[in-house]
Amino acid sequence: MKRRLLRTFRILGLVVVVVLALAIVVGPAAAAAPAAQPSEPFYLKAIDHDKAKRGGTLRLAAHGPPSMFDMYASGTIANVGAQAPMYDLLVRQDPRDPKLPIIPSLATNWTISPDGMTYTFHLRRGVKFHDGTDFGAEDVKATFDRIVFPPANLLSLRILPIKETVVLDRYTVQMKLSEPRDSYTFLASLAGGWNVITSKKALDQYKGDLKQVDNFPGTGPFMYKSRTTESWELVRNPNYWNPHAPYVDRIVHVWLKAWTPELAAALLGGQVDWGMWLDPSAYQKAKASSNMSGLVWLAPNLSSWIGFNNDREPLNDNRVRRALHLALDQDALNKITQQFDPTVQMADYLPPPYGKSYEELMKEYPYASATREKAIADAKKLMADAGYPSGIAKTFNFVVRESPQNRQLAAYAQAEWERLLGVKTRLEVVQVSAMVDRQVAGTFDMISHCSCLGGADLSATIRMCYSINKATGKKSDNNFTNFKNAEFDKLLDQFSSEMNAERKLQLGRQLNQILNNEMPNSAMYANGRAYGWYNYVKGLPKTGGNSDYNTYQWDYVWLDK
Amino acid sequence: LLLIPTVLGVTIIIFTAMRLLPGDPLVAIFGLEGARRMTPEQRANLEQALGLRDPVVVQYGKWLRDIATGEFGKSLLRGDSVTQFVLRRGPITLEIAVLATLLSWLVGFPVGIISALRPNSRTDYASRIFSILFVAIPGFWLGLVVVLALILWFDYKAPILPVYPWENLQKNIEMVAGPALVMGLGFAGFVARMVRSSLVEVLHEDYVRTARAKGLHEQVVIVRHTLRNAILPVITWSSLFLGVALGGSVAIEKAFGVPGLGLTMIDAILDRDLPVVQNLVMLYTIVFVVVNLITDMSYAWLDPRIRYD
Repeated sequence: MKRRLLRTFRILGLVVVVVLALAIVVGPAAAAAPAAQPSEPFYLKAIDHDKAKRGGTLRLAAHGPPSMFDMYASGTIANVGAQAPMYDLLVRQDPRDPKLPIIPSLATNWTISPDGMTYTFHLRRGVKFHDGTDFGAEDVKATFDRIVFPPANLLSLRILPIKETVVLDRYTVQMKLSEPRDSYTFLASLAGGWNVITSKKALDQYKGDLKQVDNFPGTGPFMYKSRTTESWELVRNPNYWNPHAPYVDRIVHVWLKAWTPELAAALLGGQVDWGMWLDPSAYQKAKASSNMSGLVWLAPNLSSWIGFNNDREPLNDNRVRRALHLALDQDALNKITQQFDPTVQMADYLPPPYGKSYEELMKEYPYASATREKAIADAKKLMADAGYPSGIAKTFNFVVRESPQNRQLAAYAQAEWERLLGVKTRLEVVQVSAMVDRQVAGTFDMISHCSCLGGADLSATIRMCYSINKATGKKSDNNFTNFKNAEFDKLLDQFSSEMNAERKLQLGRQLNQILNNEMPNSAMYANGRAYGWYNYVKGLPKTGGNSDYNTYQWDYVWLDK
Repeated sequence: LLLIPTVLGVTIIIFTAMRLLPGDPLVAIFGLEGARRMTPEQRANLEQALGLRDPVVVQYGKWLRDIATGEFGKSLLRGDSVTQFVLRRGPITLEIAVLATLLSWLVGFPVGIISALRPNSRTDYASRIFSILFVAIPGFWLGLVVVLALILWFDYKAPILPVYPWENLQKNIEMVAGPALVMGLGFAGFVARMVRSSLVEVLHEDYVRTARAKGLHEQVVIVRHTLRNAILPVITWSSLFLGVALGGSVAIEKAFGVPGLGLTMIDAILDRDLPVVQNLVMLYTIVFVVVNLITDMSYAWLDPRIRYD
């Protein structure tokens, strides 16, 4: 009897050990998987909610002010930075730790159809807009219709693969996708800080045109109070649906331009509590200060310092483009740009895991210093193969964006191309506002700062930068290099709709390889945005992600002073 | 009446200059990415709404109409109207200009008078050296040096929001004192030199000798007989100072980080915010022309011999 009991305990113990081991192995993977159906109710709290103090004024140095107020049509931080606290999103990125799954906001939970093409969102009840109207499914539909199907004369910069938004009942809304997406990508796209929910009533009233409406109704944690030419003031929403938030009573955004000495002086002088997009020196000082903190968020853009016009002779020959790329010491380029912004780092065409990391790139040809001679020899050989063994007679027009790093970088490229390959360029420095005309018109041979704004959906970003617009059949709006590759377009279609992570990884790597072979542009880089704040501002994440635009609601932050 | 063609001439120069500058207003409004992603139709609609597709003559005519009705346009980048800028930031710039002009009188007149009364003395040499020094040193450079000294010794923090005298007089004075001092001392050098040369000239006039011969007290001779006649050119210069102070404040406000109209102008130029630059330059022109008109009219009051038909 005693032996049987002992054996039973042994078996039970073994089961417990196996279950625990499985939990340890499977647990983190399960936690990292896309949030499928979080249970209701969910209310966001500050990281250390139990210690949190309430009240106070949060003084933020914000890049701005906005020139207009239509969040859906805006591509600048000036809008989302100041307006985001007035609104809620349908779902949101967890601002306390960007690596956590997508969390509920106005949608309390959701279900995904087995084919991944239909999302049904169950909405929070009892939520009111700041103008007193009730929030419901019609508002979600009206908002996403404005974003996805903007009226003919209005602009929308957000790309969401939504075919239709259907109201099932007052608190249930269904989104039907126009093409498959894995659930994390789709939910993360919805969680973009720009996709703020406003009321159907307001959208009807203004016919979707919110450019001049500084206070279109939201349900967010803060309400509009006033704005001047120097500041934008918000106050706590006393009727906010989250009983725990917000913690502070008032937010004052003071307009201080990004990367300026004025911003640095205001932050380091204690005139503001938090500053965004600091210059390198100010960021280092904030990091070094014992009573301040600093953090860098990566920008989800696909950027290069040099774009080639793939339509123009002889740059339409990928041997010439590759030769020009190989002639440049990419590590030297990296060092030049890091003088101006230490967050900038050389990168592959696509971010890891599809492309290689900086560390991986630096170990291998053509980036490793030991392979530099071979890279130059290969560049010369490629030029000879293309029919230009002793250089090109034409002088190329290199359009350079007016900024110290772009000028210095272009001068380096100009010198190296002429010295090593006999390729002459004329640098034409233009203001940032004139760059768009040149990029859109394609009136350049080479162009500096060929950056493409990214979002949560990498496939949409790649399509925007290197492929065709499926709606129009023409090249995408940000495909300034006029890159065309049928195989690439086909793979991209598969990549964007692939639901299996392993197959998606393989497809992404193939896309990256094609870009490396074709070399539509050179000197790819990734950059970050530096933030600094005083340690009495509590609740901010310890590590940055790649979507700082999604975290400006301030309902998770409190002041310890 | 010459004022009207002067202002009209300036409007043509400003309008032409602004049209020659490169830049895309839609980038200012929607950001670089926003402007890139517009379809040609959307771009056309937005440009139409902003009036950028109108013929140049129509654009110019609309601008003149706006000026006449007091509608000074709207910032492309900041959303605010230029009138809002002027109402909010104008008082700070005006305060600096007026204080600088007053300071130039308070320092320049005594220095000039003492210098003229004791020509070629040590006092005269010292005052002339300081006058030339303050005239020669560029205001923005002196401003930077003063700011640096204030930061190092007094933990100075550049203001980030405007503070008006009726809100908090002490903070307002802290904000405008530096720019007013730097600009005022520069003007004081001019005033001192002007007062000295005018006084030296007038002191040799026959009527001054007569006044002294009559046995009048030297103070009466200087103040009532000499200074009143010597003051005319100084008044002309001082009126110009007010205009120069408005223009000069552009660099000095930047040095001190004071949120006045000068700083607005610098930001607008750097951002290619053309409506703001265009309308602020226009406003400065109008102020300058009106101040000159008032100065001309004040001559008749100061010197009854001067009459305008």
